[in-house]
Amino acid sequence: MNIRPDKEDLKLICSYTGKVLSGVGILLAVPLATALVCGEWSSAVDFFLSLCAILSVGGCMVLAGETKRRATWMHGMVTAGISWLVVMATAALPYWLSGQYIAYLDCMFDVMSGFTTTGLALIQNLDHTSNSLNMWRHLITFVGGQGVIVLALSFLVKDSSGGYKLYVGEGKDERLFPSVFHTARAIWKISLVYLAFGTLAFFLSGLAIGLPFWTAFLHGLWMYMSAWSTGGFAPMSQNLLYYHSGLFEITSFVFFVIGSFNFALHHAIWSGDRREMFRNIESVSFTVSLGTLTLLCCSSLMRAGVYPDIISLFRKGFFQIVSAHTTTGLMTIYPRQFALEWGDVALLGTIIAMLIGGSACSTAGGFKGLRVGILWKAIVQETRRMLKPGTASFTQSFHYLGEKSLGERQVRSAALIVILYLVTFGAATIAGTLCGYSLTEAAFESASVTGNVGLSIGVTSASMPAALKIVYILVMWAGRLEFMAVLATFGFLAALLGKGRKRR
Amino acid sequence: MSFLYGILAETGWSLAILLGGLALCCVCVLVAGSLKP
Repeated sequence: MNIRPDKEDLKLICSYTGKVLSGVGILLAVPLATALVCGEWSSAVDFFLSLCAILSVGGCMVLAGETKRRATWMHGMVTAGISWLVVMATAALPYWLSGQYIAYLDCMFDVMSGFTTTGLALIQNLDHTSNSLNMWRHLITFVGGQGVIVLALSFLVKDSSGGYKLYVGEGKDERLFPSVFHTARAIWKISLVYLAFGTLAFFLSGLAIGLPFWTAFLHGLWMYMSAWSTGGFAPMSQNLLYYHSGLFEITSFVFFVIGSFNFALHHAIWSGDRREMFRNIESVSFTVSLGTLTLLCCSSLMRAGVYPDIISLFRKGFFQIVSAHTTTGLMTIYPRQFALEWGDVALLGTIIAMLIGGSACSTAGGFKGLRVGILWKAIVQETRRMLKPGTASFTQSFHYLGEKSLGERQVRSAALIVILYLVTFGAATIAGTLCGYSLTEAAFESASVTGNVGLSIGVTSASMPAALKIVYILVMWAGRLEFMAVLATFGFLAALLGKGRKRR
Repeated sequence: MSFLYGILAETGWSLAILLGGLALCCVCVLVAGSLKP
């Protein structure tokens, strides 16, 4: 039975959550500055009010939560779970003030979609959205890729032990350095270096296709943020299709593939370990699954005559499959084309790609190539064990930032996460069918929210049932935090409501 | 300068995946074309 949390536990969680919230509040200075530079005075007022409100709430939570209690795993996990919900509820304020949403629930949906790097959107009249609101949308997804807790750890949390527990609670467990603060800053360094290169690449691509200078810069910045964080937001309602540019598509492709790499892999390569990319179990797993699913989907699309030539098959078929596999969600087709043109085999392949997702400790979602690789190695190990004499012993190893032997704990952990993803996918699919959508549509959209992808078959819209919006919000949240923090949060709430024993 | 090497290596890897995808699309088109009655 759980120990019932006492006042000091609540204070500690309140304090950490306040710090995370304050980090998000400080971020609002960026869209506020954008509004001032662009002369969007109405938006500037919205962002100023939101900034004051969020910093006030965050500051009060930090002050109210002063305690000498040390953080345990329970505190770290529960804070990670709760802070994402608190951030969702408060960061939706500028969306609501903009007047471009039908309901506050839609604002929270878009915030959760942004922070989890899903990329599904319920905003109205996106094509006429202010630059500052677009900046906020894309900044949310960019920060979400690294993690809101990583942001707070970089600047606001000073307790090393508690910081690491928060970091793990957010679904990341790789330490690039012994110190969790140095790790958080290294993650930001990698993202910001790519921010400079990526924005320049998109900016030049924009100029090449004839966008005006200022538009090319802003769209370049936003598209980089969206691609790198495997988010899927775009400043225009037609998503990537708006640009009608192969150059823009290739630039997006390069950055969302790189964004789906493990931050530890980036760090290893940047440190001069040239061979890691070719030997890493995640790179191998990603290449094999992407190749297999590409053959499956593209051959099906060809047989159905959907894309009759190589270029359209490449730009429409392959692009969508990689966008699904890296959990990006940028689209070069309209959502209903999935339902009306793609056919069952290609949709099934895309659903599998969305569920597998990118790399662990990256901006990507899904149950991750690392776990697919580990489970594959476990199957090989079991098969070898059956075929060898009873007395023979052997060790199965895999390469992941060094040679590692496969242990029972790793297999159990990988299997548990994959099962939880599949159960959540099934539950969200049932919810979609109960709301009147076909099984194919419900399964596709469910895979998209579970894997934090953002590809849509047309289910997600402001007119979908509110119950389904809530289900999708919870599924995006659970998928992004990889379940552990979510389970800890539910256990904590159950203990708080009286089902635990008191601390002695 | 090691980060420049890193960026070049990762961009190269990403472009290799892109070209690999193009090659697979070619295979699909050729195979589908040869299977048509």
